Amino acid sequence: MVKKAQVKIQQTAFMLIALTLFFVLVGLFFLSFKLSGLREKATLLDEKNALILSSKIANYPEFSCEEAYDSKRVNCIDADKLIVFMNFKPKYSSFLEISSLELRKIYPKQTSEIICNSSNYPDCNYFKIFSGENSGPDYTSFVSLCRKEIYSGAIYNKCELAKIIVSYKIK
Amino acid sequence: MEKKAYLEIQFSWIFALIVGAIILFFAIFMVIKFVKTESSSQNIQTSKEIGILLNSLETSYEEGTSNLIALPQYSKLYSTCSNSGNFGTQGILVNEKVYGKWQESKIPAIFEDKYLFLDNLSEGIDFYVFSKPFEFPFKVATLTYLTSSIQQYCFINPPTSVKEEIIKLEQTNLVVSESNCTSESPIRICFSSGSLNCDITVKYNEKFLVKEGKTFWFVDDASMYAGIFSVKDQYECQMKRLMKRANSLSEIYKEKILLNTYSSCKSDVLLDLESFISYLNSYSDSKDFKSSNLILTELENKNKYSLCRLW
Repeated sequence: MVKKAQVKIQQTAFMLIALTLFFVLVGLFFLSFKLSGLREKATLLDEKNALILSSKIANYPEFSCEEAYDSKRVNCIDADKLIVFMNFKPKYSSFLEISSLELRKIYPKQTSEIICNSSNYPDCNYFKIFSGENSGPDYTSFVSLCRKEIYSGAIYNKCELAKIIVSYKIK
Repeated sequence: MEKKAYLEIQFSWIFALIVGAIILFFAIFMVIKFVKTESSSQNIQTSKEIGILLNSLETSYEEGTSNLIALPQYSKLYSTCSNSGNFGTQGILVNEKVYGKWQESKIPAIFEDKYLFLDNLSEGIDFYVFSKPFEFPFKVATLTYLTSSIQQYCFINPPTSVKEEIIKLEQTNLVVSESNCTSESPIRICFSSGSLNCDITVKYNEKFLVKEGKTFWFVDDASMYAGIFSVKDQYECQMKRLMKRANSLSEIYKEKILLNTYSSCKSDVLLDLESFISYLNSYSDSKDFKSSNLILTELENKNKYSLCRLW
């Protein structure tokens, strides 16, 4: 009789353990499903952010022309400011919440790609401002890239066409 | 024999009941935890979305226009501010009201490049947002002001420039004449000393305002609105963050003058920029704006009449 009772208790215990395990597994599955959804939502928000930033970044005071080139211009990047900004990059590393930020001169067309630095500026056509890992798709917008030039001792404004490329970090 | 059988059934039942209750308790606990986490995640998502939406307001052609943000639930909006780090941070926190109960969330969405000003009373479904550039003397950032559509702000006898700007905004909760100040408990912003029942008194020419017995010093209209639509500690914290950004921009402009092309320009902005940087380094609170007038005018004029303008 005692043995029969022990078997019954064991049966109930096993049943309960199996039931608990089943619910735990279902819970874990549900949680992992929800978490992947959250990650997707976060990536979607970052994507939206990068999309808006690509059209807005030219108006950040760190890059924008302001009134340095006669009148106030929208979507105008000051190349002189940009080359100086390269020295301040570490300070701004977490400022924009993006993975990479690049700027390419597209007109007048140049045959080879020359990455800009303080020694070759302005004879270059590619500004690598931030370059991070795990970058998502690129979002681009067109801007005018202006700088001061000297010709026969006189200073004039030179503006070219450039493309700004922004990408976000994949989570 | 009978007794033994009775005991056997009883024991297994008690055992099953106890373990069952534990499982049930654990399941209920997990469900409650999960619902809380889910509502927190929803709140953070809304906060982050508001932050991203604010991005589109910061382009220069959007300045001076008002936009409406409609939230899915009746919500309370909070702004948090921290001065730590290179530029400090702006936090946006949304708490939604679900079935008459506030879903408290303590984790804000954090942004380094935003300056949002909102009052303690910011709750509702619809919120108005407008933005203005803060120039000190060059553009430092775009300031964004957020108000609940159910809270009316009455500007009593404002100067013409402020009056025209508010009318142009076409924001229904901002009114410029006393006769339109019809809501039950409006916030009255008085610009002339003779006005009565003022919640905020603005001394426009002296460049300060008094709110809840506290003085907010400002430099331009953008910082004046910041004082009107925020609370003292938030205002001071945001101004400190703006000064940090202005400092960094001054350093950029200082290095820009040193580029070869600028060597032929007759520009003596460099010395003024250096003294401006030391002013920014010693900035402690908005009271320091009182001493900024001279250096700002100098910088502005020298840049304006320079052969090659820096900004």
